[in-house]
Amino acid sequence: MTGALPEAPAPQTVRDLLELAADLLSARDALAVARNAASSAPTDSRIVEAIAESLDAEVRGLDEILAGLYRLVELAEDIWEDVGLPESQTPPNHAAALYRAAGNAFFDLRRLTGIPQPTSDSTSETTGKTPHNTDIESSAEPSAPIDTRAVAASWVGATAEDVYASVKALTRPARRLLALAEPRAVGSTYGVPWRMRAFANAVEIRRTLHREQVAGTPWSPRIGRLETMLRRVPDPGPRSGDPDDTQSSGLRQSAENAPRPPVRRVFIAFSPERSGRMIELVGRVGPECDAVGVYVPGTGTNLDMSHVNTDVAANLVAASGGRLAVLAFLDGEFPQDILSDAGEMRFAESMAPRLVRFCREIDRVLEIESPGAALTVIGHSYGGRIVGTAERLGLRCDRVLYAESPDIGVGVSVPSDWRNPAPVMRFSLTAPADPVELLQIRSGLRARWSTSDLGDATLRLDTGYFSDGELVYGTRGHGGVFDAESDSFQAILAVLLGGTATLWRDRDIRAAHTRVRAGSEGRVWPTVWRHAMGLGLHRANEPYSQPQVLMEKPPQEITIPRPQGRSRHRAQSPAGGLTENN
Amino acid sequence: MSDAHEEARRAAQRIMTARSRLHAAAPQTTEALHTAAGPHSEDPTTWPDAIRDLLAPSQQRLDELHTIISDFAAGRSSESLTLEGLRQIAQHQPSRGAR
Repeated sequence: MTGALPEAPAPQTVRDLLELAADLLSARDALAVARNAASSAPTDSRIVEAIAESLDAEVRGLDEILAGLYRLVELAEDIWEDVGLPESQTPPNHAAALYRAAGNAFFDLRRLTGIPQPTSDSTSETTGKTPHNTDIESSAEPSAPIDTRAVAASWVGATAEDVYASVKALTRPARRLLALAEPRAVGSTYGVPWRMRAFANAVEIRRTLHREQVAGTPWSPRIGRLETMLRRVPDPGPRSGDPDDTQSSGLRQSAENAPRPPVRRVFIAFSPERSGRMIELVGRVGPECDAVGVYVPGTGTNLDMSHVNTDVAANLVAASGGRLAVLAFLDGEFPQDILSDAGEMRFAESMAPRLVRFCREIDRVLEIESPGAALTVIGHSYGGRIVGTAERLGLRCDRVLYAESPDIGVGVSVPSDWRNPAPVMRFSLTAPADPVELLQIRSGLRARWSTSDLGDATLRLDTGYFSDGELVYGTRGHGGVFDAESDSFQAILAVLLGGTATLWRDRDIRAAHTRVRAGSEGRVWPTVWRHAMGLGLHRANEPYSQPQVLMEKPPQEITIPRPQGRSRHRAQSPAGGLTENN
Repeated sequence: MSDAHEEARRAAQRIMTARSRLHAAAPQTTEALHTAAGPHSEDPTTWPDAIRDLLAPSQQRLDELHTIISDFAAGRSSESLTLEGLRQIAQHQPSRGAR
């Protein structure tokens, strides 16, 4: 399950903080009721208006304090788990960095509540040090006043570049304050550095989970998922910086070879509305990164079951040796049922523009963090339809992989319907006897005597075998192409990072109650008959199981180029830019 | 009693509920605010109390809001005086303007 570490019982401090948060939430909700009543009163009165405004400001104030409190809950968990571990298990000064972060969190809370910062003679801040000898933010960097609401309001209609410029002009404490005061805007606006978005979304996830817990909701998949999203995972590898304060730049070099404690997951978009949305970054975008993948999953995807999508991203990153970062793109509503709504186009039409915008955002980030890294978009099943539709709308990326895709997009009949602004290398994977081939036929993408699965729009790669030696075939093959260590998984890695891949191979295959004959690719009746047996007559008898390969053509390998531009672009990397880790 | 007075009376009642919940969460402290939370960051067990200290200004503003609105609802304060009172509270609400 997403590689998340097992849950440990919450320490007393965390329980105390959450109890206080529950009380604050209750007061906040009572104020919100009063505000809503005043703002919706039919009375035309300046007094009532002023009362509503005053109450609104108090509600926002308590929301901000709660955000700061949720941040402290996270730090209390980290301190509970990490402080006191043997030195061999934590990097140097890790405890000091955590306490420094806690000091900064209180510094932020005082700003949010309008309380003056402690005077020099009242605390150890006289020297700008905590007892663990770490600089605290308040003395390290001046914090100019910031109107958080005005900053967030200025982003409405602004370009990502303008948003980025406005964030770049802020000090680190101001950026933190902004994330706590306006977590929804910060967590969802393109142009805001990803680490800052993750910081804001961590607050929002904790707020959502706490709401569910306070409401007394019995355990549900949603609660379970939110809990897992807040749990730490093993560190994916070297980093170029940290979001807030848990590592100072001075510690970075020595920390590179030091043990790495688990890290928080990085969500650069999150919404609990309806079936839930999120974009999760697995791995790190930085100088070590050669390529970035965007994984768009298919039917049945939702927040509650998103661990399977995160697992795909995590497996790819783990197999890349730090060269790859993958984003699981769940920023929209997916069809939930293969029979009732997977045939509908509206999901793809709604998500495709978001995917186009998001890939532009990735381009912007790569220019700063990892110039020249290749961007590959992978659409699995219905996700392929979303990706194809996005290509029609001008998706900018270097490579596209359609995996078990029913078609090549809404409104796309032939590749010339795509409107990408730059050349794209396209690949596809369709396992033999995957029922998705019925939809490919219906879309007119299969033709007799053609071995292409998607109307010659892509280079079709072979899905090969699972690690247990079984052929990637039928219904198991539909999702199984992403199984780690399978041949298809290696082909996906080759598309992302460059390398050798095998082109589709014709085979004669016999399974329990289905069959693929050599040379029958693209023919309608054998395909229809196969799935009439598999999905109809023998449905209850595992018709696609035990595939036996009776004959297969020799492999024909191709070399997919490694991403080329990185070293060339690196020299042009903008100096002094605000990194995504700030 | 005008509609505005009636709305103010209802608002005061609702604020009373919120006020009592906030006071229950954070009983008033007599400690000097400038020491709040400052030296406690390395001892997480002190964090809840440190946060309660930070709630004092909210409690104070809510008390004042309740008084001003109640006075208006009861006819003890004019509209202009009430507006002035609300304006003064607005000046101290951190979520409005720069901080």
